[in-house]
Amino acid sequence: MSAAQLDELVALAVSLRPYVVRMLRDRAKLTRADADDLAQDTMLAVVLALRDGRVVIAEAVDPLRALRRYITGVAWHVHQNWRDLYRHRFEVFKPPPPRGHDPLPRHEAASMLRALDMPRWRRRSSPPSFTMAFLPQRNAWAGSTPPRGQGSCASGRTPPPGSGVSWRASAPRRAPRQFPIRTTRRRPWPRCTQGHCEFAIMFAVRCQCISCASSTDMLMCSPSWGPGHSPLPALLIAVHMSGPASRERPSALIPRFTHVQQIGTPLTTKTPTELMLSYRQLRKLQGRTNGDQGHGRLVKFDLTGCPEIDPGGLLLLMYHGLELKKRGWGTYLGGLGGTVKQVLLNLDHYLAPKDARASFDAPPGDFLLRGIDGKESMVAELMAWARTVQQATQASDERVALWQMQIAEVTTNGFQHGPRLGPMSGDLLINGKSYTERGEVQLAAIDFGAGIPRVIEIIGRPAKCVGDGDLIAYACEKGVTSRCVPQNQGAGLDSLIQTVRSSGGRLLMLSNNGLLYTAADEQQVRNLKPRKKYGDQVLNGTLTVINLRIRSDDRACQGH
Amino acid sequence: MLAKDINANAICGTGFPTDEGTRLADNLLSQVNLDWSDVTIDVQKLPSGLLISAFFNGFLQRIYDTQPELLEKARSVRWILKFAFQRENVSRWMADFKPNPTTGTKS
Repeated sequence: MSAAQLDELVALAVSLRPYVVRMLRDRAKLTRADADDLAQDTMLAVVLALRDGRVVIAEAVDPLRALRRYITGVAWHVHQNWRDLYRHRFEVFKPPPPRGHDPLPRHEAASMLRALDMPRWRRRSSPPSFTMAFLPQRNAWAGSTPPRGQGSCASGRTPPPGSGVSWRASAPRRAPRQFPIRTTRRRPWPRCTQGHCEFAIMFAVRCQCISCASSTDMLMCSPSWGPGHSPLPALLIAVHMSGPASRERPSALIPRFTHVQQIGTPLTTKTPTELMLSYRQLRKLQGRTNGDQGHGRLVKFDLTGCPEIDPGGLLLLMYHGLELKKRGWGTYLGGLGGTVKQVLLNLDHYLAPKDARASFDAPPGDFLLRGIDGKESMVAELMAWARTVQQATQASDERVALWQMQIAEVTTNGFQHGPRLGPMSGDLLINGKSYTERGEVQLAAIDFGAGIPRVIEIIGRPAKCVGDGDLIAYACEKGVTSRCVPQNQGAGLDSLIQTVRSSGGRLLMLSNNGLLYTAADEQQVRNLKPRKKYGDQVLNGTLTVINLRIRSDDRACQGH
Repeated sequence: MLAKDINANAICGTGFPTDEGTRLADNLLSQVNLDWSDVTIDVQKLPSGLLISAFFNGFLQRIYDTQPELLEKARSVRWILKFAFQRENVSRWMADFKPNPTTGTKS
């Protein structure tokens, strides 16, 4: 290598310093000052190695790519040494508190689970295509010294042959042995003390809230580390490591699903037909469980083949998870692909503490799933939500205020729809997404109350109403009220429909056994008949989906 | 009798719309010598999610429950709102409101 080439390579390496700092800060959760120091050490080591000729990069390989990988390995090596200093000084390493959405525990867990799920022949033949990086660190060992000697590769990929780049990678064969040690350290399972577990039981018997991800209680799993890395269907959501003084081995917690439902169609709710198709897809799992009590058995929705999910579809998915939970089934969501990632992100957001939600890195236009757990917090939640809507759509203040009013009418009705039953009785979920290419925004809300038809029946079923669809349409007429909440005067639904129609939008309401669809120039009412094995009602609650137009003049009147 | 401009932002919070409407009514009812025919309420700074039918109906219902004779005057309260659609909605809700006698007296 000529001197000029070497200088060029050194300059290239030095230019990667911000990358190293960012990696150390984001992945290792170091403070800025520590990350700067370690980055300096890393760069020095890299430059010396280059000058000494200890690194040779093959001509066929992009030098930037090869250098980036080499530097990553060096950075983690330096980082390991730096952490060891703590042990020598008998200090306790205290990583900074997690900033809301922390994906690392999930990646760790995904790697470990994948290793366990991997067939033996594959473990032997597979290159280290999964990663055990970050294993000996992170919050799971906060307060104690991290064990040494574990994986130090930062990427699960195999270095390109002939690239001259190499680093240590954890051997896949070690993973099954390490899994129980790492997760329990041979102690009984710890219990969750985070108090978030009420909801997440819905997803699995031992699957608890994912907001505790930073604690030892939680094993987080995600569908894949990177594109093409895992050919195996991986566990999603979370496996909670608690139980009544359980001494089970971790391998016992790897779920064995009684039924797996492959979702192969879009879960969308733009029209009544789409909504019912999505509903039927999700309902199949209830049919396969045949109305049985789950008694802790597990079922899984596999979303690998699902090309799209919209806010209404996501709420339907949540609903069916809850319905299965009511019967004692643990429900997992799994698969690979963008839809799964979208669902996972929404669930992360939903289960995260409120003050941590702001740190979520949502895709543009995605108003992540959130629950309103009490009517007192409804307006405040909607305000926060409206801000994200406005940022994503760049719509005018007036338009966003209109949307806020419309969704507030929906949620107010949700809180007022009579008696509530079940574990989610106090909750109301909202979700939304903007489709700028279509010029639309979809807002959806679901409540788990008695449902509009059942509430309207309190004042008596009008003769003209044959089924629940008719009752919903009747409830939307001006002045019709259940009188269970005298102040509302029956103005809410009527007002909602008026404003949706006037703005060229569409409204879909599915409640009990009725469906109402309203657009500017049409209205459809469907009286649905549930099959007996699915229970008495199509939906125990009310799902409202509003599709609104983002008009071209919205942006023009910004700040109006 | 005193004409009054009221800033609702100082009275209402971000609670449930019905409750906040009731609170606003209670505040007005507690003011002595208020000229109800000349009341202006500025709700521009309240969140849009609060300014829904339940808020205004809750307001009028509380006035009806407490002092029914003031209901018609309360309907003619001037509301200062930020957007045109809000003005349309509020005028419609104010006109359409029918008091519900089953609510009973002030709680």
